[in-house]
Amino acid sequence: MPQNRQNPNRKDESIRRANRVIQTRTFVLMLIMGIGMFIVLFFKLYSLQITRHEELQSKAVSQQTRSSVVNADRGTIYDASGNILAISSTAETIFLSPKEINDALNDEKNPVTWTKETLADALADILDVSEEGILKKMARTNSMYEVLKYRVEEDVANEVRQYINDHKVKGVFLTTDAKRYYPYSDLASHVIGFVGTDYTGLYGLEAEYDKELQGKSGLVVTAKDNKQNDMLFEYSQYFDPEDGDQLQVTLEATVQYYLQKGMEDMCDAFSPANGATGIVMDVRNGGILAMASYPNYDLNDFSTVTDQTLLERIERGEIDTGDAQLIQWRNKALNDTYEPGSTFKILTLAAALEEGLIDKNTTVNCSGAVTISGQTIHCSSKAGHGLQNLEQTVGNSCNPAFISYGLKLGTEKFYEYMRSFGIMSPTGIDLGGEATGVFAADANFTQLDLACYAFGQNFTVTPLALITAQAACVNGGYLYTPHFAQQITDSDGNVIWQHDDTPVRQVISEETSATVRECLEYVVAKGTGKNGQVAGYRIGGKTGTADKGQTGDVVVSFLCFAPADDPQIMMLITMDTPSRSTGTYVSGGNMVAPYASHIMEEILPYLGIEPSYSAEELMGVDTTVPNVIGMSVQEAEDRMKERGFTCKVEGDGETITDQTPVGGAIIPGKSTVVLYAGVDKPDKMCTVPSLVGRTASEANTAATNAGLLLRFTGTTSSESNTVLVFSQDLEAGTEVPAGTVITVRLGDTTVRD
Amino acid sequence: MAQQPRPVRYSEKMRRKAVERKHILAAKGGRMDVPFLLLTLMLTGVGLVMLFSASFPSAFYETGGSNPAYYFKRQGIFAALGLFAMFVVGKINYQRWRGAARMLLIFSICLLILVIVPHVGITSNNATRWLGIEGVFTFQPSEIAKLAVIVYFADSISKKREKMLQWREGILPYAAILGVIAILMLLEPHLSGTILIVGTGAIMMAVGGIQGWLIGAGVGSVAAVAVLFVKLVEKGVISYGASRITMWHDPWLDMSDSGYQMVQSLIAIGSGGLLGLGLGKGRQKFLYLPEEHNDFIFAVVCEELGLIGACVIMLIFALLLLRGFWIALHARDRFGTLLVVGIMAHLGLQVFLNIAVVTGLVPATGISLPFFSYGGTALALQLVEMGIVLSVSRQIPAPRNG
Repeated sequence: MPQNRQNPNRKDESIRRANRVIQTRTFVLMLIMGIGMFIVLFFKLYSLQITRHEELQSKAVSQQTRSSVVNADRGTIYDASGNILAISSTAETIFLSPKEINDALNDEKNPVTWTKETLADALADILDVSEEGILKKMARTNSMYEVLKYRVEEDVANEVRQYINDHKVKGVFLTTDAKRYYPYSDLASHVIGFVGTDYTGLYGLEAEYDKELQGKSGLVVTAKDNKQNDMLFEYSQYFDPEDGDQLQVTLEATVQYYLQKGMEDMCDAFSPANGATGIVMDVRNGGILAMASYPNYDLNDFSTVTDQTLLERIERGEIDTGDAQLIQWRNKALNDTYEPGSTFKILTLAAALEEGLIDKNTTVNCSGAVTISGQTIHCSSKAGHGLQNLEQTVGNSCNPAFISYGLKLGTEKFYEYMRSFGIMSPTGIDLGGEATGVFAADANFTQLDLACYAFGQNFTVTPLALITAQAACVNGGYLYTPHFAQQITDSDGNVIWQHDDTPVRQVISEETSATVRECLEYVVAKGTGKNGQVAGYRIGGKTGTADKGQTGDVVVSFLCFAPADDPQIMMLITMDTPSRSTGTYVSGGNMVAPYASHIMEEILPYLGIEPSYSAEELMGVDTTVPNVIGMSVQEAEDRMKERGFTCKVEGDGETITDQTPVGGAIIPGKSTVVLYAGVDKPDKMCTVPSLVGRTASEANTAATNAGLLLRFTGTTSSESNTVLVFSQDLEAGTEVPAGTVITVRLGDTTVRD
Repeated sequence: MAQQPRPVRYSEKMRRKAVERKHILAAKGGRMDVPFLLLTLMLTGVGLVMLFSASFPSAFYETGGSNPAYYFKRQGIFAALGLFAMFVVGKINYQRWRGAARMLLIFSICLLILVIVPHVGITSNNATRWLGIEGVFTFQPSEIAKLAVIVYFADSISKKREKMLQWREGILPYAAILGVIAILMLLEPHLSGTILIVGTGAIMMAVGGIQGWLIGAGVGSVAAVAVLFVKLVEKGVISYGASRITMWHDPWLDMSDSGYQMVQSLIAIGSGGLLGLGLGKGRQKFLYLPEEHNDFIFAVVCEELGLIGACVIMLIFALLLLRGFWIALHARDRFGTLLVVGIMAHLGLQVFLNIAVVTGLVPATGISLPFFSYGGTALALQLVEMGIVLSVSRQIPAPRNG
């Protein structure tokens, strides 16, 4: 019984135990699987979706979207007159997706009619790129973006588009971007600079004002699946581009044109081995009106070397194309320094005058050489200039005289003025890569150094720093920061920045400046700068022929400004190592000054600087007007010019139908003849102006404005401001036909008996 | 002495009759567990919706744009069939499975052998796992083997009680069965399926009452082998599975090739963030994420529904598991308990391993996500298993009222 009883009991016990084990273990399993497991998973998900969300999301975006940049319109660069120097227009980039091309070719379900070869051949033909290059790009079959050509013109892009459509080509795409155009090609190329393939400025103003011009690129983001199709749902975002700001610079395209034309002629004549540079500056504020550097290049094709000298050097194997590009992109006006030579004497003169060490009455006796610290320094005139007054020392460019001025100043004062003129530091112009000259340290600046420095040798300076200081010498003493940027406007036309014309400092006094001007006018009127004269204008200037160390090579230069009594513009032209075999005596006065004269002749009237002909010039020789009616316009103009007349053509016909004055009339040379081509001569009457008491020049202007001609008689003198009109043959207020000649009598008002 | 067995025998007989009656009553009258049923329906519904979202790009491209709902429709048909089967199975007295257990096991082993016979099984992705007619109807015998193992183990273990403590009775037969199935499945090869079946079997043995220290030793040795394996791979001693381990450590090393799938999965999950991109607005499924409607569907869930959506779905799974185990704890008998434990353990393991793989927690193996991943037979069988749980739930004795 007890056993029997015990048995089921024990059995129950073991069953219960087994059941309990199952229950307990099931419960534990329930906790592990129902709760524990999910807590682990939750933390893992949290770390991925919250902690690493940003990182993974950016990876997702970068693979799922194909974003195409929409370039902002880069700002336009204008010259001072509003001519466009650099402008953007849209162009297209053509690229291919080798992966898609491969997929399309391997897709047996949808056979294509083209092959890699036919496609490459056609594209090479349309885009003018090498076929092998295209095939090489096509071979990168895991790539989806291989650019074939940037900045493709619209018509070429359309051709590509047509080809894609005609042949059902896959994997060739076009995107729009912008292209930079430089309407004047090689005009002021070193100043304007250019942009690279990524559309950022690389050189010149394009680089200097890159941030302002660039604007903010826009972006189109489209979602793409792994086969680069748009996803099934719409997902695209468009971020508007912000157009760049407009830059207006002080450059004058016309002035630049004449400067380059003149300098090209000069370079053709003297083939300088190391190029040339020219700067035209507004002395009243430091604005650069023109700046040229040679060798030059075309901004629209900036990689191509066209300069003859450079091409010859490449051919001789001296340099490779890369070197040549770097040379042609160099702006010699401020990237390079040179020993200025005699043009620098202006600064020595100004400093010595300002210090009161010399004055108009100073005289210097030149024996042809001077010995400083045991070294003999020769003057350009071996025989010596003899006794000279101040103007003559400048006019003769006499080295001993300037050595004496420099020594009078002493080393300390001399450096003080050098610093004050800004010669020893960068000018701060808004163009990259400005160089600074090399000078002896203050402590090592000896008397001999000073003697050489006084006439511009043994130290170097950039042409830009020199002209900036020289402008200060003649403009009343004010040193301005040379600059290009005049104002910046946003794309809506609001002015957001304007150049501040405040001078940096006054270096010399107005009086000193006036004396310097007189001396420099003398240089052109009577001295070494005679070839720089421009009829009708008072020109001041200074020549320079600087030795390049002991090499025997020279840099010839000419500085001039006008009008000499009230300077507005200044021009410095230098030419590095001109050929010695041209037959022209190697000097600034002989090589550079004549071309400078031509340039000034063109740019002064353009800039509205009126010629003030001296009576002597105005008198000219009376000339008979030829009859040109019935001739072609060109022929008629040539005939008139032969006789020294200037012409004004009215109407746009091809042959001359009438003229004023009529053929056979005797009028002063240099008068203006009006030719009518297809329009009737107006029979309007002109009122004779009152001319008595005016200078010859003023009288001429008044008569021309009234449509009449003048003929001068009587006393003439080069000191024209004392010669005035005594009388006129037609009374003021009389109505006469246009082109009538008024005869006036001149007389020197200072003559006393 | 002679009299005594009678009453015993009588009472035994009576008791059996009473039990039988109770069974029949329970089977007839008991109600299915409503929470479990609702959670199952919810998962089936959500799973279908997510499958549609995840699969439409693939369906779109594969059918040339004509039928983006291709996978969804097929899965929907199987879901309907599965739900029908679930209710039928739920109505069947689960005790009937006892009789079928041995047959089912033998049958499934035969099928597993059939699969690896050359030219009979269907090969896809270098694995021969399927039987049937290609393109019309295929199924994985391993799915049936899973069910067979669960039913057979539940039946066998529930009869053994304390004998489970013995080595010969409690360990050897089960280890042998699992061994045979594992070898057959590894020949396919089908590593993930093997892990699931062996894991489920082992859990059932553990719950069934084997020695406690054996459980510890089992868990410990599995962990040790895993760690050792990883270490040896890292040291370069073993080359098998080396790339899987390396890619598990840092899938970004080889984003374009062997790490691609993992990277795409992590990108999908990570870019979902807290709130997700919105249902249907996922981007990774556009041919970036491979297996996006199969094993990696949870990555699409995370991308579209965010951490919150993923957690809600995990919560439904968790509740289903908790309710399932609750049913196991309250089942009328050990067989019911073990049957439900087996089904729930299998489900739990599969969910855990799937999400762990997708999130990079464990090295990649191809384990699908129940109710979500594309696969008609798998879904239908899953629902049949749920039906079995519901059947067990119907016979839960009503709580005694004080």
